[in-house]
Amino acid sequence: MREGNPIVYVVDDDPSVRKALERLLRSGGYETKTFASAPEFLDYNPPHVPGCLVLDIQMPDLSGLELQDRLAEKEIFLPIIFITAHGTVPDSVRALKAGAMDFLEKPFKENELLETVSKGIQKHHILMKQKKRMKILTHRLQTLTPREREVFKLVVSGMLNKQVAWDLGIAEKTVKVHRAKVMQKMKADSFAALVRFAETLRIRYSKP
Amino acid sequence: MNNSAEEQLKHRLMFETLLSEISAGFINLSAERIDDVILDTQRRVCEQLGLDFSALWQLSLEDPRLLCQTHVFRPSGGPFLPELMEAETHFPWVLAQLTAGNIVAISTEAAPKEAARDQEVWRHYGVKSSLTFPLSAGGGELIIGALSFGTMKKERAWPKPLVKQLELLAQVFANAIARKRTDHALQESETRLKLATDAAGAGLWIMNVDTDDVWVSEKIRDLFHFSPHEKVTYERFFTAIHPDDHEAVQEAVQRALESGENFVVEYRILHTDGSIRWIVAHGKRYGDAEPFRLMGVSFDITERMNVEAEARKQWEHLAHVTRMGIMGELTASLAHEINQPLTAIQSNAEAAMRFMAAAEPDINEVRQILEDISRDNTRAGSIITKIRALLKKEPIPFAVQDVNELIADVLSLLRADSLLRELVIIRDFSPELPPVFGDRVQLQQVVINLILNGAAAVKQMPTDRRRLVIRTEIPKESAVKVSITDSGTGIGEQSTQTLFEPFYTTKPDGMGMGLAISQTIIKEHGGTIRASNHPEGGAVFAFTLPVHQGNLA
Repeated sequence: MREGNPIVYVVDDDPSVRKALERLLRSGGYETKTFASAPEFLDYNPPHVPGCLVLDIQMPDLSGLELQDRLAEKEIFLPIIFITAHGTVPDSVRALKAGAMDFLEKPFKENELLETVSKGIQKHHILMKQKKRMKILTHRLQTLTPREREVFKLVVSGMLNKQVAWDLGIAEKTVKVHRAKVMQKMKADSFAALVRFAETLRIRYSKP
Repeated sequence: MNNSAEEQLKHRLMFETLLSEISAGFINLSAERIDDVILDTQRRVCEQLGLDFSALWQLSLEDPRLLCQTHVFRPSGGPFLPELMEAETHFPWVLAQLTAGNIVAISTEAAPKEAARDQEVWRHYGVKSSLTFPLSAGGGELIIGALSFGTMKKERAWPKPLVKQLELLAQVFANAIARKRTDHALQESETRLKLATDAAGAGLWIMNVDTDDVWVSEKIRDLFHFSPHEKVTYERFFTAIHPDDHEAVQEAVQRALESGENFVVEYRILHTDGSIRWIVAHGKRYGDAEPFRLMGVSFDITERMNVEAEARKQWEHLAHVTRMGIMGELTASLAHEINQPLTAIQSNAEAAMRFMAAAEPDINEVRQILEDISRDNTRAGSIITKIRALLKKEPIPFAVQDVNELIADVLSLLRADSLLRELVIIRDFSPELPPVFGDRVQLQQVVINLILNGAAAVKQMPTDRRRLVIRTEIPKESAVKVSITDSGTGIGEQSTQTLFEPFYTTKPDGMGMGLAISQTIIKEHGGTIRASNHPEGGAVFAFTLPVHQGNLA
């Protein structure tokens, strides 16, 4: 999958603010898409490229905070930078609790928006990479047999082959075979890599 | 024979001269001199024609069967004439003739049979021949009395030309008597009016338009500082009136004279010591034809005006405080409205700097940016101007206002208010709305009040019922109506008037002055404000304002 250029989405009901933000972001080298209302953005399906959402809180019809909730329901995890012409503390708390990247008050300080947007895109980039890796690892995990999964779970918890064999009531030799199979199927070139994969996949061993 | 004819002609001419002299004398004769002139005329006519008596009888106002003898000339004496006489008893036949509009010219001994009773009475008073005219008011059919001439020493014929001439005299007398009667009635009512006005502390004045003579009561002399015997004219009146009020008073007087309708005018008297008294004058034209008289009363209302001015000042202060309160509530909204253009300006400026730093700057783009910056700067400025206007304390003079524009301005300020953000505002503006005349800030205060009230009313409603309809319309040619209809639960049990009372509130932190002040403002603008429930639910607050009648230029 080829990664495209990052896109910054701007949702603000004020046309002159919208136009100015589009220019500012373009001057910072970003491709920008603007929307006049929250529902307009909800109808749009953002492409699978890194980006972030610059969202005005105070808008008629659907407020920025409500859009944040709807996007979460739709599992669109674009980092959100809220902008507001008159922020209230409860609004900002709610936004940040719901996972907003930042909360900027209009008018912004110099470079504030561009810097925050840059951070947001980076964050989304990492997030996307993580998700992509997760997807691959999940796919590999699905190729393991149930026994191999058990062995995977136990070896990454730090158990020796012998302990694993004892635990599962099988021969140590058999454990070794399974372990090699797991390494091969998960495409881990070292045991350390396998442990990282397990962490990514949140595979943990809990003692019965 | 020739001599006698010449004599007769000379006689006739002399008599005609006398009659025209007499008739002329009655024109412009003041009411109080009428009686004397009638008596004098009776004497001159009798002397000229060699008659023994002339008597004028008037029907009694209290009892129309009675005749009052009011003017009599009887130099030769005779039996005592009663002052009151029952015409029906003493002269039944003559009365019947007069009532029918006939003139009775007769010799007593030649009276017809039907006049037996009348004949008896004439004989009793020694009357040989008599000529009696009916007197009717204004030439109408209503008989007000009779005028008679007669001889006692010898009989006399009544030639037609003479009867015609004396009939004219009878008409002149009748008119004079009728005029005296109305004048008397008028004087009586004047006396009564003076009593009443004195008791009420009012000054009384009567202006005779043709003579430019103004009669004024003592009270008026006091008020206007006229000296006790000074002759007052229309012009003299104006020397006492404040120059700024001349036009208004003149206009009111002119209108009253032309239309005959009552006039009321408030004006100031400027005394030589510089002190000012406020006067209200009520007046009316009297008479249906010229010369007119203007009659009226004037009161000193200085105290009342002072109290009103004080109350007005207090009220303005309260309105200002309330407005400040509203503006306080609107801080968030107003900050939003100003920060929007500032954000655009700041972002545009930053973008421009970046574009300029590029190797090959796009000058065209930068020019566009600068244009946008300038426009947003104007926008921010106009918002600040609007806010500043609303926070002004001094009242601004009334001016011609476009109500649609005034509401649109308010909406632009309130746009971002948290209450309004969550509701749909539907504008239903009449495109042909005529202008009104008023104080822009005060009218905006009313609109803000009603919109915020409406917004608060729908705050708890489900999303699809958070609606506010702002409508402007022309209910009738002379009025503009603004209504704000919400989709809330409507007005409860309380009477809709209670809402407008001071300190009435349903909001936990409300002062309860909003609607009370709105009502005062609308009343001051000559309009009305009402609250009612909408048939489909929700409340309607509506006010009307009179259409501005003046020149639009």
